[in-house]
Amino acid sequence: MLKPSLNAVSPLNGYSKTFASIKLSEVTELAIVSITFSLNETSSFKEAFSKYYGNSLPEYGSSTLSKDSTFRFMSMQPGMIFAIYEYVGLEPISVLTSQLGATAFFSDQSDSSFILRLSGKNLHKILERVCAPDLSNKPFPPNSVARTTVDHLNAIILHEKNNNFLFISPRSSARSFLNALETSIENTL
Amino acid sequence: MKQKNRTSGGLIERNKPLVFHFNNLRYEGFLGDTVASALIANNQRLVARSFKYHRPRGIFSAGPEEPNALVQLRLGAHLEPNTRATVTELFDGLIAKSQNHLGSLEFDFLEINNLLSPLLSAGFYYKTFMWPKSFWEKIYEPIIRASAGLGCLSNEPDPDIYDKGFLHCDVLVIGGGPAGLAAALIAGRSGVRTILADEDFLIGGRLNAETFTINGMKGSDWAVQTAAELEHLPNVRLLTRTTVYGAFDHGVYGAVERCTDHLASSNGRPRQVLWRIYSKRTIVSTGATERPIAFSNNDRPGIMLAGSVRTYLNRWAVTPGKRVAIFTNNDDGWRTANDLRGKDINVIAVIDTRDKPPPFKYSDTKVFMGSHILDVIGHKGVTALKLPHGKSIEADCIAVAGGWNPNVHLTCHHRGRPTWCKDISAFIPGEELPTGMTVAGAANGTLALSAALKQGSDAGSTAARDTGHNVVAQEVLNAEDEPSEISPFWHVEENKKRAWIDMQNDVTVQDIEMAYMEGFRSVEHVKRYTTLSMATDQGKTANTVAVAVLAELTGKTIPQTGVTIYRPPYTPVSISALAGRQRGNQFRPTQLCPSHTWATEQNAVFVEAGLWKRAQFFPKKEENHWRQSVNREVLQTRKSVGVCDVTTLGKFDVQGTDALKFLNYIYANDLTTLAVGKVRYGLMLREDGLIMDDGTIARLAKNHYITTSTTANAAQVLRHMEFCHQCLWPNLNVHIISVTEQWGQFAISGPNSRHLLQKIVDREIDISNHSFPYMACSEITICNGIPARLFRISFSGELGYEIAIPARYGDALIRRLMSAGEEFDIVPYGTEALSIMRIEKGHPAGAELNGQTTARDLGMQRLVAKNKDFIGNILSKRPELNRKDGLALVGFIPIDRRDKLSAGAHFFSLNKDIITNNDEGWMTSVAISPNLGHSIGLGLIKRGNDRIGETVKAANLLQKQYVKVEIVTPYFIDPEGERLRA
Amino acid sequence: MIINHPLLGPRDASEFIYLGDASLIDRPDWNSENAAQQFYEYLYLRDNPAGTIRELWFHEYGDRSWLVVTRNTLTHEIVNVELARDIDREEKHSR
Repeated sequence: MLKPSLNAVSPLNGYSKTFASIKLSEVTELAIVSITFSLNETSSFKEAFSKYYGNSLPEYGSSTLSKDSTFRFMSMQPGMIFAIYEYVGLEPISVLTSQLGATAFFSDQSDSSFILRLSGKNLHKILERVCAPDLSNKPFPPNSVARTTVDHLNAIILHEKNNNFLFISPRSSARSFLNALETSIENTL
Repeated sequence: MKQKNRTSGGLIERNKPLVFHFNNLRYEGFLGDTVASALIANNQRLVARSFKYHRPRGIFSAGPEEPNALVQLRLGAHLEPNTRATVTELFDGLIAKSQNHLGSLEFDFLEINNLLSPLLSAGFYYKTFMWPKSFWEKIYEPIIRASAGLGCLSNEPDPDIYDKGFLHCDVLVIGGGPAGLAAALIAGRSGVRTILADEDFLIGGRLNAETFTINGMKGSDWAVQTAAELEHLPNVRLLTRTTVYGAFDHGVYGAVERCTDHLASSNGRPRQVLWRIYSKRTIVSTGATERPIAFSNNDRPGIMLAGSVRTYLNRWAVTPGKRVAIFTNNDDGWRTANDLRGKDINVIAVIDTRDKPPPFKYSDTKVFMGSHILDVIGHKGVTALKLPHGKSIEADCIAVAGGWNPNVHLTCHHRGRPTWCKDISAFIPGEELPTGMTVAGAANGTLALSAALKQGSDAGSTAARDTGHNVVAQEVLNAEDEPSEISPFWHVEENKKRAWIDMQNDVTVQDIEMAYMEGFRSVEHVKRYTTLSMATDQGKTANTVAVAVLAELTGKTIPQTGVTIYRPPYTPVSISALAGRQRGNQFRPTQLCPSHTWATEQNAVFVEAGLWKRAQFFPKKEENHWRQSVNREVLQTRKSVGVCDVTTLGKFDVQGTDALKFLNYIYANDLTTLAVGKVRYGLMLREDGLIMDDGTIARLAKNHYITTSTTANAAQVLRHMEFCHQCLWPNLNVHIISVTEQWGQFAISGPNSRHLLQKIVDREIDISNHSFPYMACSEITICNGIPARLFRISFSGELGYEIAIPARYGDALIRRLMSAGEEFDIVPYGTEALSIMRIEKGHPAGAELNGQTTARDLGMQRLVAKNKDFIGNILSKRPELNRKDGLALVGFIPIDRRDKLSAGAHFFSLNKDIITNNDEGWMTSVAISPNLGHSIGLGLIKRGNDRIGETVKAANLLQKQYVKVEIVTPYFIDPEGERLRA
Repeated sequence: MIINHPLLGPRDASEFIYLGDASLIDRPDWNSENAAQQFYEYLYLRDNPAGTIRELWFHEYGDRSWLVVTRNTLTHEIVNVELARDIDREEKHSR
């Protein structure tokens, strides 16, 4: 089997920068797939999901990890969850269809977004310049996820773990978004 | 002698001396001073000239309510006019200048306005500058423009940066005086997520201005101690130098934090931050502002608010005068006399309007009860005052105490009105407050300290309980309840000299009287006619006095007269702060196509299409006009092959067992005959029957469709589809996912497009004309297994395809296509060439789909299904949209081939006059066709299809160009569509 | 302005786009005799009360759900927020 002869380019070209103790870097090699299931009939999907991934579906505004931690599932709206997982290859959906089969519809979103990881101490000072929803620990504990607007750009914000946040936003406006985050960091240093 | 007006004590840092300049004169002050307190320390009484009459003015107050002491701060691009010296923190090297004078501050040539004052009274401009009419443009207007306005701008872009942020809390306490501190303290100690905001740089409010004690401690020390405790609580956030300027819906408040205005330079940090604060409960503890009494010549430098005199004395250790007279109608004025005497400053007299025994007996101060001031002597500063019965007293400062107005503004930002409280002769918060808001302390009309502290504690407790916390026990705060008896006295009626109410806009008692004489009765009308309260101080020291004067004139009571509407912002907010980061190239986000980097390397010229940056054309080095490049791109594409990045189109994945049913509801076409592996051109109507958007519908699998929309309407189409699904047909099993960003997409057009594609699709994929005819689609792989989608559709009219690949390969693909296409002399083309080709092909686009046209107008009625329910079906059948003489889309060419057609020109029959009644339609799109060698156009004209061959005139009334045009078929190139099917 | 999303909690109004009156959910039957009249009224005629109204908002920058917001135009108080698809299921259950 011949190797693909086109090179992939990540939206921010592997950007990584440190500002004092804050680190902002692009995350590549993660697949993002949206899984949509019918709201009229959910039992077959829920059954298949529990069988392979162990826990129940995430609540709205939250995320869960599969039992072997390979997949993170995020829920932000009824009838759809996002799956994020490490993947290098040409068919990210195949990993999920082999298990969830015909119980749902899949759409590869791996290319529609870029992912930035913000890590460091006292991130709340930066986050309060970024978006309106309250991202402090009490209302937004680790594993929480919110979809909102950042400087007029769509963004999914995931509280990955303590002192770590992931930002997922449309690919085409990556540079503008990066600018927004960098400015938030620089303005609060 | 340096700083000759300094006294002992104060809250300034005497070990940190500062140097500053005012009007190019060098002065000294201390850290903790404001510009005003430092000027007073240096006995600089004259600081400004008034707006209209250019009268000499001095510092009037010690806070944001200041009407007079407006200075121009800083130099160059940082220059800022109209800065209140009373709230400007002093820093080393500060440069301030006075404003609004021609010549020096001391000798202002425009003071002649003062002599012309009878001609310049309120509303004078409604009665003058009318004759002769010709003088208006050349003489009156330029003079008015030059003299209107206060201060001047730098005319350079603001060099500072500004930021915005979002804060959340359970309880927001606005104002850090005694009531606010008490509220924040109990809330903070009870674990409530609290924000305490104060506009000052030193928290404490009046505690820093008075000689109060709390629990035996100096009031200002108690404030420091309390602030320190609050700072250490992790659930409390203290925002000083922060003005909460507006109360908005649902507990949302706007605030401006001044981060670097007190420093010589911002050093790249944001100068100000605009905060949006979300609160569950809010306590307004904004204190009260003192008001004066109006009397003749009461605007002279040296005449100040009595409470402000105390502030200068107690907080800043300066005295505004050496022989101070007090003029008061209440008990509070006497406090100033006591504080001054406590510092051994000569209080020459106390004049109290109340006819009663004096509250204090002084041996060396003259006391006049039941009296008033008749006039003031002194031009550039008070030298003496006149009392009734011919008495005259020498004084260099008059401290005026007219009563205190609770700062109710935030409570009225939701169109509420305050209520009149007779006890304190002032307006207090009304019955209806914004949701979640309570008021405590002086802002609530509770002027006495002990009561204010208790009220603050109570408010804090209640707020803590309301937000689900267990409230700690209230600490007992022992303090005095200072006396505040007041007898209303608003202005001295004797003596015909002008008595000022609004200092900043130069509005006098006489102006209010004149407004009344001219028939104005409503307080809103009087405000606008006299311009009272319309200056930058919004009449903070003037409003109530004016209302009282108007009430007297109309014979109504003060509550009956009412106040004008309160609106945000409480104090001015700069446009820069409101703009935040949205300036220059950060004004809007930019969306870049996958081929952007490559296109930049080709020196493409880019155009903005909404937020997208698209390549407009690709100039070669030797080309020096855009039309050369664009013509080359068109000709070469039609001759061989061209490639264009079309990623910006809206693309949607529509999946589900009811996907077809759903699509049939939203498109006008009958899609039941759309087979797997086929694409169709689709028309989406609005419910009113007019075209919303067009695009394609591709069926990749039984329950899997890809639809496209125009770039401009992508967001709207998604919104519409979700509306139809969630609101109209929620029981359908269908899922809509936007994949605009997921897939990079390129149009490959021209006779050699298939040959080019065959070089990149994987060997097993058959895209021969037989296997992959016109309007076919398929999921394929290219370049060794990379998943792609191929659609055989054409916007250009040539044999053409659109290929979609995951966006990460977009850059690599355009480079591969260009190198593989070298043997065909491939050309990249941009939006200009794209546009010319679709016009040559007669293909409608944005200009034809402008929301005013129907399928019938564009000749697409055959696409519209006859017998199904879909959005727009019923209303598209309205008679007016189906007239026999309705518009039709046709082509136009100039009779004289050298003429250029204009889009937007309107059509008229040759023998008809160019008037609206004869309007027959308009030109929608034009281009100079390199293939035909002349200008061509598409347009809508009545009965167009029946008039092919007719000549009409195209009238461009804006540029006054009239061109004779022939009506032709809109398909200028390959009308039979042979190239498409090759 | 804050809209209390039934699933996601309170969100700033800037995440939403307003469409119009909630009566847009009750699309007329195209087969009825006076369909044209009904569609005309559906699209163009509105009461305009000073007080409580029901409106459609789209959570464009959030979860892309359509919401019916019951709001008082005088006090700006939002008394109820529901998912449009939930309302519709109740009303159209019989269809």
